Amino acid sequence: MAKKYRTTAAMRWHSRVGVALFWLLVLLSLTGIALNHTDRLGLAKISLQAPLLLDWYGLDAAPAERASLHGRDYQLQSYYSGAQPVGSLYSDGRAVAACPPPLHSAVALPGEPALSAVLCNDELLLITADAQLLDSWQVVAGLPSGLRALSWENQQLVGRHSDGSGWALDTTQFTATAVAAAPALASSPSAAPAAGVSLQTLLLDLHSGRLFGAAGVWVVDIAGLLFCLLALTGLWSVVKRPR
Amino acid sequence: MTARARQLLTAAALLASLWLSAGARAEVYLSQAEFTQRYFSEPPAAGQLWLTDELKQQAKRLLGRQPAGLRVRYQRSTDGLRSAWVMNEIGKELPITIGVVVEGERIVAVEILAFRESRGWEVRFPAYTAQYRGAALDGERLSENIDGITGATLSVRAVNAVAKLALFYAQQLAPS
Repeated sequence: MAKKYRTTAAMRWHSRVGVALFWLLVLLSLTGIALNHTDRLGLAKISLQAPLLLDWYGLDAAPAERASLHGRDYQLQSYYSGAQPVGSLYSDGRAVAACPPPLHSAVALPGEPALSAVLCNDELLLITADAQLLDSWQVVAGLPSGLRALSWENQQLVGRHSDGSGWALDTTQFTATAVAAAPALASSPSAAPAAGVSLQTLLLDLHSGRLFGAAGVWVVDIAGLLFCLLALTGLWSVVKRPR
Repeated sequence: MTARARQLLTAAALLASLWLSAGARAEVYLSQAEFTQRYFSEPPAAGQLWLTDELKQQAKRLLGRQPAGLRVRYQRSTDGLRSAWVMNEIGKELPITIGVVVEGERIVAVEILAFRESRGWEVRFPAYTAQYRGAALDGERLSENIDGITGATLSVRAVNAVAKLALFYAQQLAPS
């Protein structure tokens, strides 16, 4: 009799916990399956920019970063993957090149062939007039770090830091030579480097409960313990089932 | 929910995300100048290989996607035997800057110059990169077996792709 009572009680708790956690279990399972296939599904490259989501993450809907070069419009599309801002430069809906946000500056270069220089975060892109990436120059290859603006001065491309100090940038030899300082750049309100989060980040935050702050994490932790209880009560009812 | 509670929740979510992504900053291990100095006794000559449509199609088979850019820069020893290629390839989301030195259609060295992802940085260890020494292009594969690293699959894939691409590009250089 006592044995039957214990089995019934175990099943009762099994049912209660199962019903209470039903939706959470479904949510965690689906997000877990999706996260297991992040790379195949390209979740990290899907940018979500719904106003409600941006508001929830505390991100400002930054104005689209645009540039017009040699009569062609370019737009930076950027988003957060975790805490890492990533972005790509687009023209006519076609991705031209990866461009770590923000897009600091862009300048059309005179001469033939018609090229443009685009300054992303610690990376300079050289783009042809028909929006093809010719080359890129990064800090690891000698581009001065922390440049904020580009200009064409005295027949040379000049990159400047916020304090006005500058470098003549030779995009043929990929060398930088210090030039005379100019007045400090006008400070602009600091915008978030990206306005969006990746689907992977959203799913990770949902799966872990972080999307709902510290309380969400505790809920998922407690749910984890209850899943163990679910397994134990399920096992108990099988082992003790009258034969 | 009050505005204050929502702010607290948002801050907590962002902090957690930041913590998770700790270490995702760009890590430069070796500048391109240091890389060049390490593998060339004399300053090498700089060159550019223009990527024609045909070359891009062939490179696509090695890389798994069309290579970005219209040209790729390289450095070459004055006797023309050794060339060095520094290329970026995305591991998971961010580019890894990889340097490959080729001599006589075989790899002399592979170095990770900069790594920006939060995971998979183990590919920079000499114990891993030494596996590429002596590797040649065998069809669309490397002639040497390269052991992977658990947890760094995408980084390993990126390094393999760049190693093959450097060997392929080096084959395109006219003898000097």
